Amino acid sequence: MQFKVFSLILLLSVAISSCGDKTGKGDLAIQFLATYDGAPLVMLQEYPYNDTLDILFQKFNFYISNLTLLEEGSEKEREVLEIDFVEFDAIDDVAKAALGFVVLMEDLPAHSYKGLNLGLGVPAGLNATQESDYPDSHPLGKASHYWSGWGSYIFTMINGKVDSDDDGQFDDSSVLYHTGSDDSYRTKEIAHQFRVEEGETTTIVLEVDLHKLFLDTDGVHYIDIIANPATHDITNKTITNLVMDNFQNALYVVE
Amino acid sequence: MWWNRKVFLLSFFLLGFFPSCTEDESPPLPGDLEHIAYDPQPFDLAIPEGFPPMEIPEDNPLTVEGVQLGRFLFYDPILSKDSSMSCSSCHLPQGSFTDNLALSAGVDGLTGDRSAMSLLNVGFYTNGLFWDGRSHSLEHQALQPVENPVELNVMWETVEARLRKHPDYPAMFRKAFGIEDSKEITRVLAGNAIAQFQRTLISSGTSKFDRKFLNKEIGIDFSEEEFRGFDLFFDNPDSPLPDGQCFHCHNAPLFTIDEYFNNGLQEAATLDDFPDLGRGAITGQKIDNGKMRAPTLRNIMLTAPYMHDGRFQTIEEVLDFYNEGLHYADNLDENLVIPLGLTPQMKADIIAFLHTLTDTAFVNNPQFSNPFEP
Ligand code: HEC
Ligand code: HEC
Repeated sequence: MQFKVFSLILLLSVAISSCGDKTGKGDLAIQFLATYDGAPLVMLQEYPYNDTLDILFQKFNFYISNLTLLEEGSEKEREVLEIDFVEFDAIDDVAKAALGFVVLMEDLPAHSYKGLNLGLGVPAGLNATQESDYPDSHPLGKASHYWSGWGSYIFTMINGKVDSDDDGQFDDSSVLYHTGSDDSYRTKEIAHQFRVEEGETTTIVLEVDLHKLFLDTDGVHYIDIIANPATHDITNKTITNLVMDNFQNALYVVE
Repeated sequence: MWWNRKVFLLSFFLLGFFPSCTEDESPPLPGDLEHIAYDPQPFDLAIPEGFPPMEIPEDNPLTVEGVQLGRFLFYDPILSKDSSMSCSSCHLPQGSFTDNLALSAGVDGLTGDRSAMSLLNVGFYTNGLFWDGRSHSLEHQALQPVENPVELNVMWETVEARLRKHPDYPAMFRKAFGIEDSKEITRVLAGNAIAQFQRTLISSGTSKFDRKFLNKEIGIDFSEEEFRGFDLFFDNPDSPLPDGQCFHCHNAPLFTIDEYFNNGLQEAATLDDFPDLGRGAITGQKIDNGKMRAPTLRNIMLTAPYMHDGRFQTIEEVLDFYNEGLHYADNLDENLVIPLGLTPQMKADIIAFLHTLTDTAFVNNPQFSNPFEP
């Protein structure tokens, strides 16, 4: 009995308070889409890497952080998200690829914005923590994404396999491009006019072309993934930094 | 719209509530347990240095009384058809809560097609339980073995009736959950108690590895072999040894990253042909076929035979498999595509390292032992 009355009061107060809180507020969804040369990115599907190699992907995921919205008509920046984890690893058909991965931020003040600022990776402060500081389900609690050898989170994980002898088996080489450590943290400012409307969800679509993450320094050819199958060498961050630079350029808003 | 729905639900709730209040003329009889004090004490989990926090559901907080009840239920054959088996028949402390069998037989002698899993640190996992992750919580999981024909094979109604009539359990349920009458004993409460007990099954933090690397105790020496094994296991970037790849899926501190992989164990011509679809049968996604949850390697020297079907008798066979016995499939994990190229010495090094994960204080912890035995 007691319990029933209690839960009733609770239910009422939740209903009332959640209603009151929402005035002047709306939600913002960022829908991340992954493509490969413009085609939807589907795991385990074969894509041409260059003239001689085919590649299939098994993981593509990354951390985003310090997401701020740039208010229209002022210099004000509003931080709306500290850290989250975006992953395409379970996308196994075109329909799912079209939905992508959605990050939802609720109850933001209804306002007009002229753009957003986004961190790619884990910013230094948080990167000084480690996965055992968080429960398993927290974005930073992933034992798969903390590398103690580097003392860093893995900012982006791009894992795949290569078929170089054209026998249809992707067992000739692997691609394990894991970026991390403070100097490969990047930010991206995206100019985009949008409005968070009261009681509504505004969606911004951000697309990342995975093939572009492999562009070599000349911006035309692709990194030699047979000679450089992995980025595990902490002393040589050439590729890690290149991939993160590429990431900055390969992420854009779909208008 | 949602608001309308809520109002509707609310009025429904109100309507349902008030009549039941007024029409109920005869005052309810006092429950048969109300005379017993209900004063549950919070249970302090001892989580070792370097371990993550454990997420505990708000509706099932750990109490001394709940854990105690769960421990009794875990060891009590009252949970089986013919009172011959309990959870502990397949999850024995000395095997780090496995039964050291490839496949275990249930009450009727029927065997399932999976090997019993270690329950060490099971409370830390949040990405699904069982080899295929089909259970989402310990509360849910604890209800499964009872009615499973290849396990305890008894209807929960029967178990509930037995517990309600039992000389001791009603008082224990009262102390743990505050029920007022033995009739309120349910499978849900039994499952909650068992889940509470299982959350206490945590590493002691005294394995050699933990003392050296997590507690950072002075004077714990790794042999050269153990150090080389460490470097191979974790792909230590400062070491010239090759990458053994193990840590990608079995990373510290839990020695599992709690995710699903095809580690090349099963032979399959296409993604549809795995003898055990594992994770794929649960998600319905072809890319998950043949994947299993990477199990913890803590106490691995105590849990032979190995793999979901117990196919390997020894840890040496496991290392031979990772080195030279993998089966290709499109979803074979990318970390295992290139042959590891481990020499016999390197395999022995990894095994020496795995020995440092043995936690005898855990298996001998008197708080985890059978409470029915003196
Ligand atoms: C007949 C043997 C048997 C009995 C009895 C049994 N189990 Fe198990 N247990 C298994 C097997 C086999 C698995 C793996 C099953 C699978 O993955 O399909 C398992 C898995 C589990 C897991 C999952 C661990 C993880 O890491 O995902 C938990 C928890 C568990 N059992 C607890 C219990 C409890 C609690 C009881 C008693 C209510 C019990 N078991 C009774 C054989 C048994
Ligand atoms: C790609 C991920 C992955 C990698 C890399 C990996 N494992 Fe595993 N491991 C698994 C999975 C998944 C299982 C369970 C497979 C099954 O039973 O079907 C497993 C099972 C095991 C088992 C059996 C555990 C048990 O309780 O039965 C041992 C031992 C083991 N691995 C040791 C190792 C060692 C040593 C290495 C490095 C040489 C390694 N693993 C590398 C994913 C991996």
